Amino acid sequence: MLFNSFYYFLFLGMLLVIYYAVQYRFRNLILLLASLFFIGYIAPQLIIFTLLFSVLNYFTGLGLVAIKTKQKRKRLFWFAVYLDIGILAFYKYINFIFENINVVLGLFPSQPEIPYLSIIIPVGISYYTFQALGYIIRINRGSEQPEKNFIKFALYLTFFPKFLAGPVERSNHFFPQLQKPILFNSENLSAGGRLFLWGLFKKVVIGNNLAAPVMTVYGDVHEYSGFPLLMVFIVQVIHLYCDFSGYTDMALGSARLFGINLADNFNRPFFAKNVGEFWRRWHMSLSSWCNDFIFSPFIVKYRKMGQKAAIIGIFLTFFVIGIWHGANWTFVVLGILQGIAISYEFYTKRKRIQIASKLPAKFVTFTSRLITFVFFCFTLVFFNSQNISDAAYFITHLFSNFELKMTGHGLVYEKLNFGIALAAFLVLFIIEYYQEKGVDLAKWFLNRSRIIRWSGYYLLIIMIYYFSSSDSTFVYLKF
Amino acid sequence: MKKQIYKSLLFSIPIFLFISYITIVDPYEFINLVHIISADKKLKVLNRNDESGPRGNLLWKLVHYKRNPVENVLFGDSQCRAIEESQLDSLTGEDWFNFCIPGASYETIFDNFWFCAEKVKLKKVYMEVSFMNYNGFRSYNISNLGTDYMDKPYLYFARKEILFDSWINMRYAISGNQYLVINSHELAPAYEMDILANERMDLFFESYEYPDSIFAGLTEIANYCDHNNIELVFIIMPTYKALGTHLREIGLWEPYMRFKRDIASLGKLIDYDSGLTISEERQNFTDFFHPRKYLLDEITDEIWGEKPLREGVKTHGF
Repeated sequence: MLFNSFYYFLFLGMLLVIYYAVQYRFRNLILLLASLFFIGYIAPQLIIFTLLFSVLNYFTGLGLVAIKTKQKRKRLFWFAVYLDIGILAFYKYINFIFENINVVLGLFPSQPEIPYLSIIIPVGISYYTFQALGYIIRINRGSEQPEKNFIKFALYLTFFPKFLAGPVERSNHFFPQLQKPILFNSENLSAGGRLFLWGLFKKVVIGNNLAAPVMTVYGDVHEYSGFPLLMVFIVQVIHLYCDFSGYTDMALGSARLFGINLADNFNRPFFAKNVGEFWRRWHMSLSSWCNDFIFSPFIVKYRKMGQKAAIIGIFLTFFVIGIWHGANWTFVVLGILQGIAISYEFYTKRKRIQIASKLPAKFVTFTSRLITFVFFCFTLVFFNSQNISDAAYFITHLFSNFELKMTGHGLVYEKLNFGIALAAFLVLFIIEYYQEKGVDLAKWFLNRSRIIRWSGYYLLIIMIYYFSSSDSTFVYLKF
Repeated sequence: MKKQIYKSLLFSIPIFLFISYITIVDPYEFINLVHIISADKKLKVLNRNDESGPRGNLLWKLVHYKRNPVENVLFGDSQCRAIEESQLDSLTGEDWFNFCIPGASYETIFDNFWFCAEKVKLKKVYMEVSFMNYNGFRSYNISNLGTDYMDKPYLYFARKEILFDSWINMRYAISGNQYLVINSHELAPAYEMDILANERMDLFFESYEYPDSIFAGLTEIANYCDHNNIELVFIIMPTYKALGTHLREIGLWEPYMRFKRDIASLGKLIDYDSGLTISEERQNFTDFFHPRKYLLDEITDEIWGEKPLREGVKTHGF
């Protein structure tokens, strides 16, 4: 049940009616049951898995406070952490590990191969594992009390808007919202509906219509060189941004309809002036999670090492971010490249500020943003490639047989849709540009008369209707 | 909350109007509540071009067959699409359904056959077969263009194609402007049609591989008909002689003969593409593959009526 499907709209509409029709004390239960239905609709056996996972972490949280002996508590904590990570690693990485062991074994004659396991990765596991880990770590640190109500706890891990592809919600942000009764609030409905519509627009009108060239090229990269690769080099970023931020807006909008605010994932990433800042604006729920639970504890623990600790911490954090995306060396390289860039920025910060101070500020800003953007385009080649060799081919053939022609390479099937998608992105970019400058266009729009606002909404609905296509899955669902 | 419900209803008015519009025009009689435009006009609209033809015919025929299943069915592709059911009915005194879909591959024809076989105990099945798609490299299926709507009825309101079809239906119903529904091929000069026909020949026979899976599919249908006492007749429609020349030139004449032997091994075959004089005349065909309507009517009379098959039509000895 994808967010952009008819059945999801039906599900959402019916749930809204039931949710606000029942007494508020039953509303969390309704949301939990709806979330389990949502999960069961994807795969019924997933309900049992997620419930068991919830039970495990629920009792761990309670146990960490109930156990008074420090040693025992430590044991329980590490047991739960290893178990959560172990479950994630088993489902997501075991065959990748076997594959690499087999490569090594292949170097020796007559060594038997380890057979691969036939397992299906539970949907959303990367997201709810990190949420559970964050919860346990915070309780162990003493910065949070465990949630005693199992319904609320299970809802934290299974809440349907964020179940499939995040955001990676923090327990200290989620639980307080459930403590007080969620009453009907028309502003929640309006804001949620608007956010959902905006996300749907980004996904359907921009993301989907830019997907074809990206999928086609990465499907058989060796068939292309020169301009088609360069085009995809740039378009892939817009595609991913609109796909993922569109998904996030729909998730946030869905949650808001029920009076729950989820953490945002994006804050105008294309206006970041360096890679460090980029990661504070892109997939923020994941990057801030890694910052709080990997980077910060690491540099605190190894502070005696000075700058070395920061550099190792950066690489460790981005290694996790990279491998979190999937069991492939391309994601490891993706993480390492971010680590290199941020380490470079860390070491050259003073020098760069010195140089920048001698240049016009606007030029510095523009150049910094452009370099950051191009760097991200470069690293996305590894994100999208099927293997390292494909990525290497992509990069080394970017300018080979270069012939500037927009059509004829068989990548843009529907020229009108492609053009409209780029034009729509330009509008999105301009809106974000003004937001970056502090001009609140959303507020301006909301202060217009009803006829203007509703015309705006209908313009989005018509474009979504006109440009919708059957290819409608989300990139980040696979993680 | 009342205010919010009122606002939501007000906001939804254009959506209700849109749904009402599709329901009233109903270009495929999918909803089947209101019939302000005649079925004849709707059929003309759905056959207006190469895009709407396959999609429209599939949806129309799936919907109508499901509603009124008939035990005598003609399956095939665009070559027999224009055969009129009323002509078949009057020639045979039985109810017939023409399930020929422009652009249908063998996979699509198979799907249509099984769709019908599920709905009713079939009595007579006539299947038009062509060599153009009897090729391992021509494996595709357009069934989803129609079945999507059967599986997910809400798509009837969610796909823009239905809105366009509704719009043209309404314009045609109001204005009667024939240019809205005349297929551009009907207006194209002969030389343009020849260019198109040559392009299509290149497309059909660019590569060739014996189609094991298609033969298996036909065999399955033949066995089913045999076990269920269904009369099965295959028809090969005439084509312009240029096609035969082309097949000889590119070395596909023998595979073409093998195709005929394959079909004949499965049931009765009526072969109109066996060097008849009608294949000599370019004006008998719109392009190289489609007989003009008058010829199609004559062939229909011969196959289904009392009139004997013309001289040279092969029914055995393949």
